[in-house]
Amino acid sequence: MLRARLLLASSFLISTVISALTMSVAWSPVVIVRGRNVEGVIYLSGYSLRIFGREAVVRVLESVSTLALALVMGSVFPLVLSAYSLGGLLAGRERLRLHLEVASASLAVTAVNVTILYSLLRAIIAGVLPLLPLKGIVDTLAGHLYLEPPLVVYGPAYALYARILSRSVLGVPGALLISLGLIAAASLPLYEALRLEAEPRYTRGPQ
Amino acid sequence: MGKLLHLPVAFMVVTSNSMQPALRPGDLVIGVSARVLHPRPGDIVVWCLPKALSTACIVHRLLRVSGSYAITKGDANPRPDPPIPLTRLRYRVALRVPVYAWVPLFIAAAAAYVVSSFRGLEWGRIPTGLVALTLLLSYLIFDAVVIGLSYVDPSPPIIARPNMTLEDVGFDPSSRIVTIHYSLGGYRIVVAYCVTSNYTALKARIVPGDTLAVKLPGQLLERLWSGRRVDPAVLPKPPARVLQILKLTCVLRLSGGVLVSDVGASFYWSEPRVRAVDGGVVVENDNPVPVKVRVTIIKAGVGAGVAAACSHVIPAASTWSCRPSGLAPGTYRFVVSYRFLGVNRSQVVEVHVKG
Repeated sequence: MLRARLLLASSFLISTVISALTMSVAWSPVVIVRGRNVEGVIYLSGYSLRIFGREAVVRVLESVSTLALALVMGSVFPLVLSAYSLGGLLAGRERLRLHLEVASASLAVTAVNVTILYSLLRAIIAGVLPLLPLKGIVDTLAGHLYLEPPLVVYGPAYALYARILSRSVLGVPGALLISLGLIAAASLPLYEALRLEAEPRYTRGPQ
Repeated sequence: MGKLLHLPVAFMVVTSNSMQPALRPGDLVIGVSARVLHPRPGDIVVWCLPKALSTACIVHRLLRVSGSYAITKGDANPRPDPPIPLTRLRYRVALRVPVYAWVPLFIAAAAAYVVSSFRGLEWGRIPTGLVALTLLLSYLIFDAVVIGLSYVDPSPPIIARPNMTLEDVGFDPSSRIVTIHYSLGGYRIVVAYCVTSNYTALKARIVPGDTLAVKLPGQLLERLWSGRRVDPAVLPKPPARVLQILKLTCVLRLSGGVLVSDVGASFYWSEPRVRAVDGGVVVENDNPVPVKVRVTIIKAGVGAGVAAACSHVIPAASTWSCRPSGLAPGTYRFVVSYRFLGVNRSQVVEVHVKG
């Protein structure tokens, strides 16, 4: 039973930490740009960009912010499941097998969510950032304007993408490795639940 | 799935504002295959990217069909999409369900399904793994709805161009100053200089109001004057004017970048204008360079010789008068000779000298 409880605690801890991190990444800036020509901030969940003094409209970012709903739900889901199971355990409703299954589902959902986070960050970093006139030449009616590069500050979401999610080991991206690890971890509580199911049950009462 | 498998009907959730106000983000659109409902200009259509197994499709309005290509555009986009082959037009949007209608319905249906599935089940009889699988599947179904029905709108970003224009270029021959007036849309000129086509660097003075004043050196203009040649046959009767364009490349260091601007400063080389005054002639030089003029005065009448002569180098943009003293009363012909753009020219003016 101790092994099952330890598994439960560690799996909830992993999914809670990763989900909270994913949730915070959705609301933290991917990139902040400060300059005379371009100014604004890009989040996974939205953006605000002024380019050459006017509000820019980036349809890709609008789409990404809608798709980030899946990311937010994928973070809320494990958090809610963890809260439910921990609440149940604290309240003394010891359906350990149920909680182990919930923990397993929570880890699997977190695994899927990591891949979605990776895809959305890649869409912004590889797809959108190169389209912004951060530097280079712009043709105007007065001549060629060589833009002064703005101050670009990359946020924690960018750092997470660049340092962990997109790094690959033997050609496998980090995001996929984390997901596979989480899925492998999700199988352990499920295995424990099966083991509990197979154990002989003892009933209280008169012999 | 409908898009992926080219089914006759497909569902899509709008994710961007490109079709505002007709479609809003979150609206569910139901597309019927273009083979069944042929799209006409004005219809909202769904076209998909050419990648295999891709569900990346875009909901935009069909503007027109040109040959085997379709031109589409988001209602809120300023420009149409790049032309797409007609074969990529998959669906015509037949119905739109607003986000406030379909999302509550979907959630209610999903909740009803989950509640009905577990109602009456005894905990002890639920097979191990079913709870985990159900939870995971519920999440995957949600993801399938949000991601599977959605699309990433690949319309290019709508980005303002810097509002910079070259308003006017003027040249004052007397001061030899080229005035270049820009409209820089809020940018401030920090420092500027200009370069001629033969790489002579010229300092530019910044005048308030996005204006540059560039003083051309006299040597530069004299080089232009002496280097320019015209065909005598094409020169009209004096005083002729010949257009000269001086190309300058101005480099403006702005607050936010560097503007490299090609400027054409135009002015005319003008033949000296000669007019008769009492006892002589006045010669006007409108050019930004000095012009050497020789005046030969001949007494009118057959066989008369040269009565007098005078010559002068008239400075740039100034006037000179030739009034020889000691001329007897009578009529004289003043022949004003000069070299204009490599051609020897002269003008003759009759002058009456009174006693």
